[in-house]
Amino acid sequence: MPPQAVAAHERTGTAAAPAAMLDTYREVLTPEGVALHLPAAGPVPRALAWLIDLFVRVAVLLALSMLLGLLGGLGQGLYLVGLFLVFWAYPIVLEAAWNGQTPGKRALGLRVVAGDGAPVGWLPAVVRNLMRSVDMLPFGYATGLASCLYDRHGRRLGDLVADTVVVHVAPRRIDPVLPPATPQAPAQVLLPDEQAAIVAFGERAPRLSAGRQAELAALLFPLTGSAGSEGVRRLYGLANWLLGRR
Amino acid sequence: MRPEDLDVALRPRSSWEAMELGTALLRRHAGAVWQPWLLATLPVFALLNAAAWMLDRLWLAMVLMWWLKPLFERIPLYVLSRGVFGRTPPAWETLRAQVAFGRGAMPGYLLWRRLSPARSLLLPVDVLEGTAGTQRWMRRRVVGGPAYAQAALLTWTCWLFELALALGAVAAVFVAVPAELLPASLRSFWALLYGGPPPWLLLGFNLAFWLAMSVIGPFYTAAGFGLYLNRRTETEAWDVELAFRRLRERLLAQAAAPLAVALLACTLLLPWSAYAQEPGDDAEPATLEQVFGPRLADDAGFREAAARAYRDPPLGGERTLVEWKPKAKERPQRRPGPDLSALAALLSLLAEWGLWILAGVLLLAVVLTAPRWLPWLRGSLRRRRTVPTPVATVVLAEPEPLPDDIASVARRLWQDGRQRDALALLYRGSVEAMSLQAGVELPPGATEAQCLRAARRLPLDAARELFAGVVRVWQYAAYAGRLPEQDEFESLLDAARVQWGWSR
Repeated sequence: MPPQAVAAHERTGTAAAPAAMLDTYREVLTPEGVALHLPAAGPVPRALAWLIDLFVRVAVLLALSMLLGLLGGLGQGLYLVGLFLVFWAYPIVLEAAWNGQTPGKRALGLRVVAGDGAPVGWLPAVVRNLMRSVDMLPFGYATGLASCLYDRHGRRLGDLVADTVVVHVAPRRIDPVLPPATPQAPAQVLLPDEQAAIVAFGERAPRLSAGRQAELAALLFPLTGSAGSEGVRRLYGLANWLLGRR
Repeated sequence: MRPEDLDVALRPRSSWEAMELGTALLRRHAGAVWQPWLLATLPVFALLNAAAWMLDRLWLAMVLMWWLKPLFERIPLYVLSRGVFGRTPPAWETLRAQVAFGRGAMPGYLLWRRLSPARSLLLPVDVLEGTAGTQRWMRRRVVGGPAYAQAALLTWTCWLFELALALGAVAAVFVAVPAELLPASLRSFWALLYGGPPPWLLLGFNLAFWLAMSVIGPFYTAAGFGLYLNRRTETEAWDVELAFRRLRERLLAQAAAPLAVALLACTLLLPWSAYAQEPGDDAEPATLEQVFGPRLADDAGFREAAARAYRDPPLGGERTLVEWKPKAKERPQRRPGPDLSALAALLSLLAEWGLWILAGVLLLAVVLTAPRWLPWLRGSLRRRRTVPTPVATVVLAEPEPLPDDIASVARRLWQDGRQRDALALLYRGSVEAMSLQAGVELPPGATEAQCLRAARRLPLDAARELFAGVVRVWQYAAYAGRLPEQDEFESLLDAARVQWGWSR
């Protein structure tokens, strides 16, 4: 349990046995004792990703039918093979071979991973996609939707059987842009999460109102020894220093 | 709203992930949401359907139920807005609070805002923040701004979800019908729908839609509430504030008195110019009137210059675009395509035979390679529920006391073929003798490196070299399984007997 949860409950004095802070990830402990956080995805982005995939597949089939229409009976046969492949092999092959992402999942920033965070293999990919025929019952994925809403990690039946999770992929981080300020070493030794908070302030404060910036900077008066816009500037300096800009 | 009392973990999330936070919150407070939800919607559902039945317009009940959704959505919002601080309001409290909760916003949401696509995101702004007038409008813009598209997609998706669940409930009836009776019952169902559905069927549809709405409605509101929380975290940097508060508490607790004095001195010594600048930073930019005061003259020459500047091509808004267009309209050409039927026939013949041959080859390959992949498939199909291998424990034997005549015992062991034991005895004896001669107290279970370090205290060079040699021989034997030659062992033993003063 994180220390801040204890602190929050001690201040409010509500629960005798405080529950853990509510978060949306699935925690996996590796044998080395490292806690991996898999941000599980719920039904809304998944349904949208599925819709995008549906459009892609229909478009592919349309193009295929136009091309194969020229070939008469043979074309019809090939088209049926294509239909089968596009509807059943498309998700399996893409998920297993393309980093757990179909085009729809990529567009929505989702990825399929194994229940322990490892890349999804061929067998789980096949199982979870074959289980779609159960999730589709009785109409329009109603069973899968109910399971997805009920499950804490948003898994449909196929995910439960294949032991996979759909997770949000964090957007690729670009080099943080900080307001320029003279880098300045902190006067105190700061813990890692405190350093992260100061850097986060440097990144996000320019989008806050001036009053709010000053309010936040005033909280750290014991560290910077100044308040108001001077305090904000000093925090920018600290953030620049923490990012290694000397 | 005090962010430090929040019961949920705040961090910057994408809008999609923020929805998961809302639904996770709903799962935690599921009982407190659905109890009052059912208590409130069930009577309304019954009343509306009874009234509609009397009017013989049962579809009206469904439409009205759908129209009243914003009223019901206040229930999950009320519970979640308390639950976010770790408090779960009981059902009666939630129901009683609905009378006054967000009353001012309701007319808008039931009339001109009913079809707003971002209802789930903006309802918390109106109902929870309690602002009014222009301020409310601005709050809606700030909160709604970047997340509006996601909120609209959420509304649309949840609408589809409701449809899927309602139609799923209808379809579930047909799943129960035996397969041989299915075509007949489907036909009669269509006939029933086509020729004016009877009231009981419409009532069934209403029930299905009410069920779907009761499942999805709270999730919709919760996801919107998650979006709202995330937007406020973004615009007000709540997570940063929480971290700063913790840091502040730590710093204040860590350095109570002395630092405070130093800081006070620091503040007093700070250049005052820093404070003098402060108001200037946030002030509005000055207008011409403020700068020039009464000396400001409306100069016609200046206006003319400004107008000329706008006419200047690099600054002005006019530009010439040249593009090419075909003179003659393209005539549609319709030529019959080449006759491909012969090619198609050939290809189909090839494909047919090719497919059969390919299938045969594949089948043969699968059968022939079965011994190779079958165990692999069996292995990978097994659930990987690994049981941790039990750790083998061995009771440590008490170390035997060293014999009086170490050298002869070690030699006997060597001759009996127990070379390892002989070397172990030699090593143990050497360590004991070394610690005696060097006057060092070794900790129990000292490693070879520790012994070697202790051996540096030995007064004689020869003794140090001998001890290092014994350790090296023992380590080769113990860890690499490389035993010394017989002569080497003998010479080592002799040297040890002389050096450590073992008898004979």
